[in-house]
Amino acid sequence: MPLFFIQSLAILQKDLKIEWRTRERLGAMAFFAFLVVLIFNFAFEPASPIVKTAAPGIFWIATVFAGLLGLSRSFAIEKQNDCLMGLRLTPADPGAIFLGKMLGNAIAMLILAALILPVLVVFLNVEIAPALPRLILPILFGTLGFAAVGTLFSAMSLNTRLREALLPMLTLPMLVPALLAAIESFRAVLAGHPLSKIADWLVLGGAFVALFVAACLLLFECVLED
Amino acid sequence: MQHLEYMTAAYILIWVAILLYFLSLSKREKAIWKELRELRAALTKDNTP
Amino acid sequence: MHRRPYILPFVFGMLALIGLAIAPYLVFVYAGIEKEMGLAQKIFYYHVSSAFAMYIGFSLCFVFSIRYLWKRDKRCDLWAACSAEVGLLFCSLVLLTGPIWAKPVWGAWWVWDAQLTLTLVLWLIFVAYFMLRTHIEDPVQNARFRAVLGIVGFLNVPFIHYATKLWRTHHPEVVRGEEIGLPPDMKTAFFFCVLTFFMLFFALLFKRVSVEKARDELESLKAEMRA
Repeated sequence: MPLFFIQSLAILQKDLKIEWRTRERLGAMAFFAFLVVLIFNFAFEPASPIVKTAAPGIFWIATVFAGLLGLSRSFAIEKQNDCLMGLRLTPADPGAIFLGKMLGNAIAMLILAALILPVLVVFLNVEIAPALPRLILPILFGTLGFAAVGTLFSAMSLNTRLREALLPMLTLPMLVPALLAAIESFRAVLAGHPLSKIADWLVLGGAFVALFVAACLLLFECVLED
Repeated sequence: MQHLEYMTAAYILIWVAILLYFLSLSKREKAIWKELRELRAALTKDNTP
Repeated sequence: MHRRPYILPFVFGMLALIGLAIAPYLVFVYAGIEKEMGLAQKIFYYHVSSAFAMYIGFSLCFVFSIRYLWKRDKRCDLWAACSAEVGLLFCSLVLLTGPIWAKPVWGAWWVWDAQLTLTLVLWLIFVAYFMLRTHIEDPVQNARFRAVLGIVGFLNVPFIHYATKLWRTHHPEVVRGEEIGLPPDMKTAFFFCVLTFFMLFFALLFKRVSVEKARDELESLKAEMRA
């Protein structure tokens, strides 16, 4: 395996280990996402058909907002004890650091998505089980795109005043195409359409992920340098 | 003369916005130049006792 | 340390001024009145011209941002920030005139049309650009992060465009006014307006850059005095 991937896997392993030992980030994210879904229920009449059409949107809003919560922690943990300096001093390529961090965030988001889906089934009464295998691809593209953009901006907003407020302001507008693709393909899949019907959206989601991962790999060096 | 009010509103908006931006730039520039000149004058006075 | 001659801003400023003097004649008198949309159609001349100026601004910001990250030349950052600012001005004008046109023609202030949505998202991205500018203290880091945002934001344009187009087709009730195949009188007026806004954009940009350069000089002089 090329050195680059070994380095990024080492970063990923470190992040997962931190997460496993503290279990604070994912817990907070999951609880927040749960709250978002719950609060959305009050916005609609119970058991009205609107809830079902809004389900894809609610799912992604819960995922994205809870994800933002987690992202702001992603680099904040590196600030303690000057860990970021340590990361910079390692011979690891900045791109590898980005990739490791991004994969860590993406995994957290995927776990989060897996936790939200049952909540959606229980509270919004949406039938997800038959569409589950076809949901994998939209969720994967959505979370990867979010993780790529979010990781870049979470590193950037680290040294700013109003860090927590700046991260969503940077991330959300940038994420519009990926979010549209994720929500629309999620909706189509829930409605029982085959994957071929949402090919356009999937291509868009895939291209978004590919381009942003590539751009961030190249640009991350400029974000990390001192 | 259909929709005259919309057209007038749009054009006034554009003209006023551009004019205001230009004026604010000129004002800023003038203030900066004034300060620069004062600073330079003060500097030359210090250097030539 | 002298006041530089402002040839370029002067030339572009004069051309823009002449253009702005002639454009109203072409728009209001020379070009005919569209039958269905009436006078509201006349908003189109300045609206679309502003959109072109906005794209010039944002693409210049993209180019200068890349150049900044490559050469680390402070002047590139200055040009990138200035073109983004003037681009944002025209972007705001597009967003403000868009609804004024949409209300009489489509019957609603805002429709989630592909072009409008794209402009709105671009506006948000570049507002974030200036948020970043005010909220990072270290000037070098500030320039670097903004360059990254300028590049990523501009790269996002085709995606937003494609996504909003695809999304819009799911909402077929929105019909966009057809602009292709303008009659010749309207075409003349339109091209003249585009050209005028082109001049106007560069006149404002050069002006903005000269302000920024003077400010830089002032800052460095102050730093020198403190030292």
